[in-house]
Amino acid sequence: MTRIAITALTFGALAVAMALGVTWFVVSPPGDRWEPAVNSFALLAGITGIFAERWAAQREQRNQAIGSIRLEMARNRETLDGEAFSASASRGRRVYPRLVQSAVDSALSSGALSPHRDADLIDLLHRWRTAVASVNRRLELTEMLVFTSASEEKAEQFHTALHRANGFFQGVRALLDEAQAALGDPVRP
Amino acid sequence: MTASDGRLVGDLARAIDESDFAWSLVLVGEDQRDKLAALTSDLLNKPSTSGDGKQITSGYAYWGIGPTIAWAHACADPFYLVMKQSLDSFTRRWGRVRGRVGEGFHHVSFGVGTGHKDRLVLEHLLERNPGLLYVPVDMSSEMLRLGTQEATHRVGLRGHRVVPVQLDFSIPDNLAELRELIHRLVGDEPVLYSLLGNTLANFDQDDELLANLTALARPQDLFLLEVATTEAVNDDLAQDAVEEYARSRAYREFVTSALLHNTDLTINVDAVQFRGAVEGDRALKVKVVYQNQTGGDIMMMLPDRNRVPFPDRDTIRLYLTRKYARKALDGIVREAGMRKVTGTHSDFGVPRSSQGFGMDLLLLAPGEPVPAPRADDDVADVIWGN
Ligand SMILES: C[S@@+](CC[C@H](N)C(=O)[O-])C[C@H]1O[C@@H](n2cnc3c(N)ncnc32)[C@H](O)[C@@H]1O
Repeated sequence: MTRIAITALTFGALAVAMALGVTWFVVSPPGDRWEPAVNSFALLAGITGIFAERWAAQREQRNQAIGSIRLEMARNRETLDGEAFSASASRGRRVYPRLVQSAVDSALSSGALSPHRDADLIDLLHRWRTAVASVNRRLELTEMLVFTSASEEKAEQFHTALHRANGFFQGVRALLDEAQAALGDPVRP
Repeated sequence: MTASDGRLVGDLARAIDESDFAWSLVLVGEDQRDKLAALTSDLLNKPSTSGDGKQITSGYAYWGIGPTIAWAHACADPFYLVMKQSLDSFTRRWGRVRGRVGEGFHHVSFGVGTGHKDRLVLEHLLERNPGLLYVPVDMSSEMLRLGTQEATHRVGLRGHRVVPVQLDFSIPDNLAELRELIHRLVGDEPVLYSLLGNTLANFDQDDELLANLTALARPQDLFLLEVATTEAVNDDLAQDAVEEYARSRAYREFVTSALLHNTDLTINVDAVQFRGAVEGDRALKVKVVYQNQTGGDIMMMLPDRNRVPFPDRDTIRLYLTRKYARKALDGIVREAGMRKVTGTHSDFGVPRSSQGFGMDLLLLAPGEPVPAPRADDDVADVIWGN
């Protein structure tokens, strides 16, 4: 409430000052017009300056956010292509590395992305976030079941299920491809 | 049975148990003359260069004292990988599945071989059932004697609790009789049947054999099956399998020993050939054949003193073996009317062996797959399906 009041007050005052400045320019005799003109331009620069500054700050914030998302995606790519998730990895019990999503989280929560311009990207990142949370949860379940089971066979069953074509994990890889492409990164290093 | 008959059996049991002499009581289930006739007739088949004519079927390859000794030699040969690894790793593999075998089991072993594995099985079962009955079943009386002695040596099983049965278990009628006998001996108590050492792979109709053998199991019984396996099937791997067998001289001597003892052929171990093939998507198949490479026709004398021609390039199939595709195992088990209770796999971790070759030991129970073990697969699928 106070924020809106302050904003309204600030811009209201600026608008009134601007209107007064212009009126002053019109009513003053031609020889005395320098002062109201300078006054009006200073006000105009002030008003646009506020927006320019806001716009630049936002751009920088967005670039930073996208940069760190890119890094994070590249790290996730390394994890997915790594030994732990390769089909030829050893089939025994193991603790899997997790996918990370802190950059995506903070980008989405800080509002660094514009809801209008980045609508598609935001949508994609939301889907990615859900997928990562889901993968990590499933990995946790897998480890728990594999480690509490007496038979080594269980680990193998999970290994097979994990690498099944058209399985969940393939979907996650595809989504990562899509996200990296959307961020303008080469999909495969 | 009269009281005095009962006493006779009791006295006999006591005489065996208390004597220092290694008596063994063997039940002979078949007329050995018929066996000889069957072997002879298999050696009279038409000429074939591909190993599909004359043959020595499984069982006969181990029949008699010569092949028995040759087999024991081959098993100890570090170049005969399948058996060597199978014996070496059995302790570990059995250790992983035996927890699922409950109390009070008797043991019926199809094909004792050298008896090393039966011994490990017996040690475990005896702890849980001091009144255990051990019934090794083998076609070769010499193998029975050798294997049974090794299996029961110092495991604390009294002599009269061992009932070796000499019988060809590939004949369904024999199995029907065996079933009667076993059920009479054990009543309703559970039995652990076993078919170890990739013996299943030696039979032309292996699926039929497995179904016949597992049909002996009642709901309370279990069946232990050991087979050689491969991760994949293709021609290159069939070639690898061939090389694995071809490497061992002791193995060549074993496969030719049946010929040596039942015919008057002068054996040239270099004339033993190994032919690999892919059997659908279920197995790699290796045929071991003996080919007449002398460049001329030979007359060969059979056990019945008949002389028959063994023409140039003709073959005698000495042995058949397979490596089952691991993926096909579930289907094979299901078709035999069994379900897998648990199983364990061990790779041959030796550089000389091909990647993906190994041994699987499966503990099976009769009947359709019950939801429990299936559910395990499902859990993995539910979690990672989609
Ligand atoms: C490959 S050895 C396996 C030995 C042992 N189970 C092991 O794992 O070391 C096969 C055994 O089965 C026996 N055998 C093969 N065919 C048979 C048949 N048709 N009837 C009875 N015994 C047979 C052989 O005499 C031999 O003792």
